[in-house]
Amino acid sequence: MIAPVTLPHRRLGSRFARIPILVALAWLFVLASLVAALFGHLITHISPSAQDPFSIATLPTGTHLLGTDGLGRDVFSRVVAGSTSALVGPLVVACSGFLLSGLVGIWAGYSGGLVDTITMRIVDFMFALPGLLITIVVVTLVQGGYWLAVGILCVLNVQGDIRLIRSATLAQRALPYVEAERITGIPRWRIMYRHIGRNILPILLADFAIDFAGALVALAGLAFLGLGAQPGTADWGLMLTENEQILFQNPWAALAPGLAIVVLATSVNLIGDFIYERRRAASVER
Amino acid sequence: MTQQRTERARRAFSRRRIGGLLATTCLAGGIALAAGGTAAASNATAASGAGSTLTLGLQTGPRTLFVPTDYSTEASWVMVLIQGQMLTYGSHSQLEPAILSSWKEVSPTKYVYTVRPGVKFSDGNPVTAADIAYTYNLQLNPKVGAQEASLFTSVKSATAQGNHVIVTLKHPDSLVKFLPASIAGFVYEKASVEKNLANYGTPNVLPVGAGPYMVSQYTPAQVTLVRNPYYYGAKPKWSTIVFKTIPNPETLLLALRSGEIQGTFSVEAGQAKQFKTFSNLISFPLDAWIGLTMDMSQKPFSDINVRKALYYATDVKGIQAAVGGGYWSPAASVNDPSIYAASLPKSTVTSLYRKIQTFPFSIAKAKAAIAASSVPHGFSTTLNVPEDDPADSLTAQILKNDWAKIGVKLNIRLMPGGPRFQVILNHKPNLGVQIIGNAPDAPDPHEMPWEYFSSQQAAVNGNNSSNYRNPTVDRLLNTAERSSNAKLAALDTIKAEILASQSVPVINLGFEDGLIAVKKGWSFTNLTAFSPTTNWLSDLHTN
Amino acid sequence: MPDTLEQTEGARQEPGALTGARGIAWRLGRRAGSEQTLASYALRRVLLLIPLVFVVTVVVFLLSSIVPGGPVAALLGGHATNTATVNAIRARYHLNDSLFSQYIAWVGQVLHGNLGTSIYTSQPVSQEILNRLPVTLILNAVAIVVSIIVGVSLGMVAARFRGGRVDRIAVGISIVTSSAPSYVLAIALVYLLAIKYPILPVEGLGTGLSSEAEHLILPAIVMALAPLGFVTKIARAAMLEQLSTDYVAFARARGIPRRRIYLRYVLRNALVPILTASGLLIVTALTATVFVEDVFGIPGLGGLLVDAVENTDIPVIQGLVLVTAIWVVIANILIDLLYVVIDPRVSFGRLST
Repeated sequence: MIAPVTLPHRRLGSRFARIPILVALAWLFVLASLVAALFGHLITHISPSAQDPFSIATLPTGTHLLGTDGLGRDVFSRVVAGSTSALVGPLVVACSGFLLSGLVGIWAGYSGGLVDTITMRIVDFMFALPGLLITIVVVTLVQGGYWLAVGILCVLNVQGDIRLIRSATLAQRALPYVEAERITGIPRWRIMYRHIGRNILPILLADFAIDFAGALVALAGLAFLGLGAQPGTADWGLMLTENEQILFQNPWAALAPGLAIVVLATSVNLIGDFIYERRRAASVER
Repeated sequence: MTQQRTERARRAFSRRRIGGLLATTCLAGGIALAAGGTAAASNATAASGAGSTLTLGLQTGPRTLFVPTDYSTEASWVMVLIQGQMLTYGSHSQLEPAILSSWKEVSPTKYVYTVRPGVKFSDGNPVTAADIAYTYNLQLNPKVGAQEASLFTSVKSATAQGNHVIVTLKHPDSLVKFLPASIAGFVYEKASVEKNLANYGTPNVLPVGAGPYMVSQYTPAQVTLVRNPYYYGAKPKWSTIVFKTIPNPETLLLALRSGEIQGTFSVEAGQAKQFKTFSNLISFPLDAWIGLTMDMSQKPFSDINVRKALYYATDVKGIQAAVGGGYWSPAASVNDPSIYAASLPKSTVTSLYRKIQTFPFSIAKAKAAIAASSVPHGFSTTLNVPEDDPADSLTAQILKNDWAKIGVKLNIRLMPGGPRFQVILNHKPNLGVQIIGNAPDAPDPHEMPWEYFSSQQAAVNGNNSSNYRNPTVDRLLNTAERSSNAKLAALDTIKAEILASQSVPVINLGFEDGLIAVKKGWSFTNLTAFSPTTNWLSDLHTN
Repeated sequence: MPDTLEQTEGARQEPGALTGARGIAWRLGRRAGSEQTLASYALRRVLLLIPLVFVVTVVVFLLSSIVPGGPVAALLGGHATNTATVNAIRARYHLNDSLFSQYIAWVGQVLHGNLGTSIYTSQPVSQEILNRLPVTLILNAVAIVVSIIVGVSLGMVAARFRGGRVDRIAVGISIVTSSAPSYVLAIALVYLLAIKYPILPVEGLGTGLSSEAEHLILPAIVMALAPLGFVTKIARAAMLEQLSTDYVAFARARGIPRRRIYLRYVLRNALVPILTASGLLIVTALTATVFVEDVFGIPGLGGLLVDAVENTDIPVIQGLVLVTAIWVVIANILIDLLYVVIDPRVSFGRLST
């Protein structure tokens, strides 16, 4: 069997042209959310927190593209403003997963022995934890807000990442190039984090995307249950639960943030899949 | 000393109170065993024609069917049909006999009640004076942990003598004479409660009462009542009454539209518009005061200019429109003027109420007041909001918006309902600003002002979260409580309200109406703030 | 035959190793430990319950102690009260005892098979849980069965017409449903099928068989949609994997009818990763239940949890912790057993890390 010493960045240029339209759309939407999060206040002409108690739950009009909510706030500007909390928390969760699994996963996979055993015991233990139950209990009892929820997700999420990266590292370790490097006397950390790390980077990136989408859905779900995001925040999950009360009057107030969650999660998942598939195709081709 | 009636009623609005519990029997019968059954909708339609089954929706099912451990308005609608009351209210909130056929105020501290002969519990046992005395003592015994125990603070003892019950007070208390007609006046059977005190009123130990109906099945998803064969009054119209727990308000609305339920007591003002489309929506005065208290013992609220500034900065009309949906009426104080109807002429009340200080919405005045205060550039503070109450959450968001205009940053902190209220009960420093919803338990004008303006309640486990203390107000309220002259008591109470208003201990947001929706063509008449503790069935008309 | 599956997968770079069938199973860590028999393996898993439940329940106890007043205020229902009543309640539920002795007392009860009594409803915790378990179980079972049947069919069709329009539609459905959270689907369906076009009832459970079944249609659809994408994705990948093997090429060359090849060989072999990965749904569906029960007002375990936490009803929270921990561990054991039963090449002895 030929050793797939994959260095994926080499092939980026030649493959760029082959990005499917759906993936391009997904990127576009992610970028749009990013722009909305950074410059949202410039796009919308109505402040997302401006209230009008005398025109509540109205249907879409020229001024209010998606109508108003239970406090007469503009739903469209709130959906735009909601992209901030939809991006920030999941980004933190995905980054922490990326870093921790990159560091610990590769270390455990490469070193084996005691380090590996301890890591896997902890990971096994965390896998068996009833995650949602713990999150609900902790967030309610501690009365922590959004960032507590983000913190808990970071902790609970990392076990899957470590397991995945460890396995990928194990697979790399068995390959001849690692053995060769080891014999040549290249330092351990260099083999681990430079070479193995680079080879499993697509997995790490794809995993980053999966983490991001998962955290987005989880955080919005907690907000939907009334946990995490504080009242008044323009948060998609919170908007969904608040505006469910006016589903008869202005369905868009609940449907629009719901759609935003679905589209962003789908986009990120698509991109993650694409990154991985491209890498796989690259290695199969060889 | 009052129940947080509104708080409880509004808590019911929570979309997340999945109080329902599916009985295994129900499931087994329905799904596993494939026992036949007609669709509830068609069932209900047929039944309404025959007048045999009435199905109503509740957003929060009763926590227990035992009033000492569930003293709430929603539970009261159910419990009044099961237990029967000692006394009841007439159409002008005057006391009328029920299971107690007569009563006498022997002295300001002694009441003698006579039990109506021939009244029986649903198990066939007669209702005796011992049962009535026992029901009183359930509230007096701290071990029962009765929710309404504090209403009975002035009661010394309740004893049975033949078919008489003698209630002795520690000191005169204007509230006590109304208690037999309140939620605390539902009659319990001594023998059956004593046997199972720890789990009385749970699905395992169904309550025994003397009301028109008895419980045939109780799961937190549903309470099914059938006629009590031993009921002493006229035979009620429906053979079966079903109370369904439907926690999600949107779902409740859909159930009403589809005919699955024929009415509901759990309509939140914010949803009134949607309910109006599909049902006959009836509003009635609940006298439920919604307001904010500001801890006067603590900076910066100790500064009267700060309190005035916040009052001026609060767009009360906006809150009434957005949160109240048009079903909140303006409030000048904690008492709705109508509570004085029995004791004072309307014109007197109106002219006295004009003396109560109010601070109508004006950002300019608010800015002037805050500029004159110790914190001219504003400050930041936190408002605890019960997370199961969307109305409070909406109110808080409007306040946040309004107060920001004068440089006051309001942080909203969601808390579970219980711990949220515990902060008020603890009365520790840093009460800050608190949002309150409360209704009087009885047509006793003294009750609400006493709760929010007396120094006695400015303590641990008390309601006065403004920590407002004024010896004159205390004296006026004390006199009112102990006075045997209703008119003088009412005048003293209004004086106390006027005096308190000068110190701005509270921001009055409004009085919340009660809302009931019934299927189109049906109606409810004569509803008052105390209807939940009367036999309301006779006020429900199906044509 | 390589000695570890991880190495196999890594080295062979199976199609869809990350997102495909085995990849997902692998990502979620379906691996048994080294050198053990079935019995000792199952035992080890069950024993894992002890530290797990210990840690989680201790954490719950510690957390509930920081809630102002604990369950007292919820018990008082938001009424002002007197100190005697508060003290009586605290004494009745042993809230004045040290956390340590409260915990020991709870453990003692549990060891005697008693989960205690709900503080909030005065009912035995076991009864509260058992009463709500059936509907949650039914919803979960329906969701898993429906999603497997529909997902596998969809995956098969997609693999058969790979690259065609049908395939693209199937992949689209799969991606969207696996990304769409159940609470969004629930609200969208309530709007469409109950408000806009009132076809189905959404309120609670109804009474009688037909009504109950009718009431469960929408919740069941939502519950089944969530894992549908996952199953479709795995089924498609597994089918493609089988279709690319040599035996299919040989069978084709020998003129065996395509349908026979698909149903007799390809599907059968593809079922291994499909069923294995589907076992994971037992865990994920449980999460969806909380949201679905919330939107549709179904009195199940999810609602019980939310209520119990709201009221600081410690015995009920602890009881639910026990039940879910057992649920998850049993699900894991079943998944691993399924792996061994379906794929005889995998044995516990050979699975070493």
